[in-house]
Amino acid sequence: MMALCGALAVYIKRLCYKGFYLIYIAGFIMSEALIPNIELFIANIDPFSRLPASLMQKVTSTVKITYLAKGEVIASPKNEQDKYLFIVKTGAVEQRLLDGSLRGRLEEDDVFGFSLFSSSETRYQITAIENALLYMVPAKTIYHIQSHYPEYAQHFTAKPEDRIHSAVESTWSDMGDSSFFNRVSQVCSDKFVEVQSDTPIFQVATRMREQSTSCAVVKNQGQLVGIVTDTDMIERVIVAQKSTQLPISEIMSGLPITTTPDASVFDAAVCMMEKNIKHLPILENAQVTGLLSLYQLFQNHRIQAVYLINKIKKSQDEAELARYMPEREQVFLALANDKVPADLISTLLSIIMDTVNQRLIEIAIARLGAAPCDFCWIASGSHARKEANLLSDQDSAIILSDQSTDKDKVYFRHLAMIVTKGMDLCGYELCSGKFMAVTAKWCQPLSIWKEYYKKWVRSPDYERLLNLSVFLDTRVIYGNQQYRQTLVNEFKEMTAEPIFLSKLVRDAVENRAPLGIFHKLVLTKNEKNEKTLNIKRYGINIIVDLARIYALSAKSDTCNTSERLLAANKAGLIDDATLKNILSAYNFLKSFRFSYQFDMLSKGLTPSNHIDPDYFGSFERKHIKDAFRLIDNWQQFTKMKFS
Amino acid sequence: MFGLFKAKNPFEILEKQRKDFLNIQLPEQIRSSFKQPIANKDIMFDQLSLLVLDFETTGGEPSQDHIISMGWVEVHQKQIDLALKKHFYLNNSEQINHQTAVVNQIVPEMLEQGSSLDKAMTSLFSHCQNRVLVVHGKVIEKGFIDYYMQQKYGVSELPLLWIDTMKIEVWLANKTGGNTLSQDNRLTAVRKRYQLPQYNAHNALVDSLATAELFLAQIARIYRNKPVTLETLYKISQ
Repeated sequence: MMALCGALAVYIKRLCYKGFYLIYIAGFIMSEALIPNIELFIANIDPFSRLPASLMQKVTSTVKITYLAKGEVIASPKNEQDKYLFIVKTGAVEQRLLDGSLRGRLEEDDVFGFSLFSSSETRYQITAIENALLYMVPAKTIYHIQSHYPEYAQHFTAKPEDRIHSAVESTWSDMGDSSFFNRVSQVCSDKFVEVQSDTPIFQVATRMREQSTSCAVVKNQGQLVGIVTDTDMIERVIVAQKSTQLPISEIMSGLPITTTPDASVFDAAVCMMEKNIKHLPILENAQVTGLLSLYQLFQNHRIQAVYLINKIKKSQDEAELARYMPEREQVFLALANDKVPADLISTLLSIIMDTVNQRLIEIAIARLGAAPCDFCWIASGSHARKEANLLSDQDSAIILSDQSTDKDKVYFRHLAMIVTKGMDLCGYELCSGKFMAVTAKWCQPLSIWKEYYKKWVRSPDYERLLNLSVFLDTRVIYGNQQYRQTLVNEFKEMTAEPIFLSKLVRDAVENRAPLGIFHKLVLTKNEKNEKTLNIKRYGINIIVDLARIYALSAKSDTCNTSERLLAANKAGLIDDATLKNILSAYNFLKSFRFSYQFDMLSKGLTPSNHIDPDYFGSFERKHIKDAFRLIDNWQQFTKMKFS
Repeated sequence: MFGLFKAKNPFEILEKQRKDFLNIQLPEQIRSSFKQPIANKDIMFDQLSLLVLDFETTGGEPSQDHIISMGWVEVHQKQIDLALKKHFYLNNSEQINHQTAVVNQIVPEMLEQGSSLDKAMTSLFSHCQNRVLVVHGKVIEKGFIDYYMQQKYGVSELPLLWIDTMKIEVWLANKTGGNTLSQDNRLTAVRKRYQLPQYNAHNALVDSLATAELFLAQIARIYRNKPVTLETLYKISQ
């Protein structure tokens, strides 16, 4: 009787499955996937998600599966055969270093064990903190992928820096012809015609028409002397009612800005944006060998940024400026959607911010009358570093001539008021720390600024350190460039002193990068979890702060974080490997922040720097962990180096 | 009958059965698969070699129904090894109720290319060497194997060591005072209780794998990570 019941139960067990069958079978049986469940699961886990289906099948057929009871420990591998890459299918495990400190916690869909493959392997113990089902990919399989499929090898490397580098590459750079990391010479030249400066306008127009191009370069005695576009033809000939018999030199733009074949596409694009031009002749040995146009680089809607800059430059007042600003968000959305590199997005947002700022100063001067003395308007913070994002607020200051009077100061307070209010109207929030030119303290003659810096550098207590870190990143937006340079030069030696730097380092290592994401919380070093990840404070800013310190040590003037890292590398303060690691981590975090803000905006939400752990997919969880690990190592290394 | 088994150590009984079995006139290929002694009762769970098995059949009665497919995976030292898996479709298609094949999503072409029952069984026996067999609901698998041996060679029962994960669930329910009658002990339901992933596709191989994972999870739940012998495992799974 019992046996019969059992038999019945077993049979029912079988029958009950049948309902599920229909959905799956056809595809799987055709592809001969015998264990579709596992194959499908692993195929969705980065980096396996990058492998072609045929290779995935091979990988799956080597997998081992194990189940750990809570508290169970995986012995550290004794030989090659014991080495695996682990994927957590269910449950959770914890990694602890030999000194007992937490290295990470891993849950469903997380991958770990990469470092077990490296020669300088990180020693840690794995303990199940919940009952856990683990899929194990043998080291031999990983080696097989690495040696037989070099195109996927970098995704399986033991080095977090290599993995994150390939993650940035595969998600964020456009690999097409117009890749911003290419050289200008690698990009196809746009069509153009070459004419002599005495050629009549109508002949130039005819040739442009014949070649169906929108641009002509003008030469005189073998030298490039000007450039003409179809827009110029309309504006300067038709609208201005000029005779088409006149020589082209009458209407061309003289002294054109040019680029060289070995310049980067990135720099060329930024140059066109900054100068508000759409064509850039490529000059090689005084010959025009090609033409780069913005239309080529920014296909479709990306060109919107150029039009926006143009409109800002022509705005008559604050209200008109503010009307255009929603387009800033559109520009950002278009760039982020096209996965334009984060560096380029922030550079473009900075250029837009510069242009608004400059235009507001011009508007203020037009309203108040000419400036009574020499001055310069300084941007500080992320704006100065050309690292603006949609959340960037205003950080500014004014340096006045030492000849300025108290009456002059009143003028500049008015000017600062107009500009600051105007910026606020345009969506650039007021700085909460009041680091703005409108604050009397930050609108002072050069001599007072020198006193400020002297005080800050000599005895940097908390408040002074804060002031200093804001004003160590400065860039002239308007006015006399010399004032900033004077300050920088005067304190260059003092700010490179080890004693001074060690104080900056002490402050910069206070925030430590988290360990990763676990159970919908951000896992921190002190094991006090947080609800959201402040990607700015615990990621990006750590790199920004350390890069500043290295740049000061290298006595470099530059403010941009990537450029600072490069300068420190050139000065021998950062080795090539660290440079690559930190740049990769930095680019990953910046790209990640942009894609987060993009998603927030697309959903009609207000973007922020606080990322909800729910937002992280398996891919992001894995790579953000790598990024944090790289940052943390560098932070600890820097602490030793400067203390 | 139960009393008889209780009186003697089941391992000893099985060892004797195996000796008797080897005296029967059988093809050497099958006979040689049973030459090895059965596993030692004191061997620890984490040192065990298991063969986890599943059959897909047209029904529950070996004398009327047929095996459509069989699949198994091996487990060594608590690790399921997907490199050591096997999956057979059997080509007894002319006897298969067409309806069943459709339900199982097995197309006639697959059955034609399938293996003969003899070939599949011989392969299974050779893989049983030094392995403890694990199934979920052994009535089907054991029933069909025994029926095959009976028909083919007149042997009533193969001297194999079976662990039944379904029986472990019954044992656990009894032990913890649960309701043994109303508890759903079908594989999918049990796996759900253990929070094992839902496997949406099913075939003999996937189900054998699902059973293997369940077995590891059962032992982890019952014994945490304390050592446990084969003898204990055997006792709770009958």
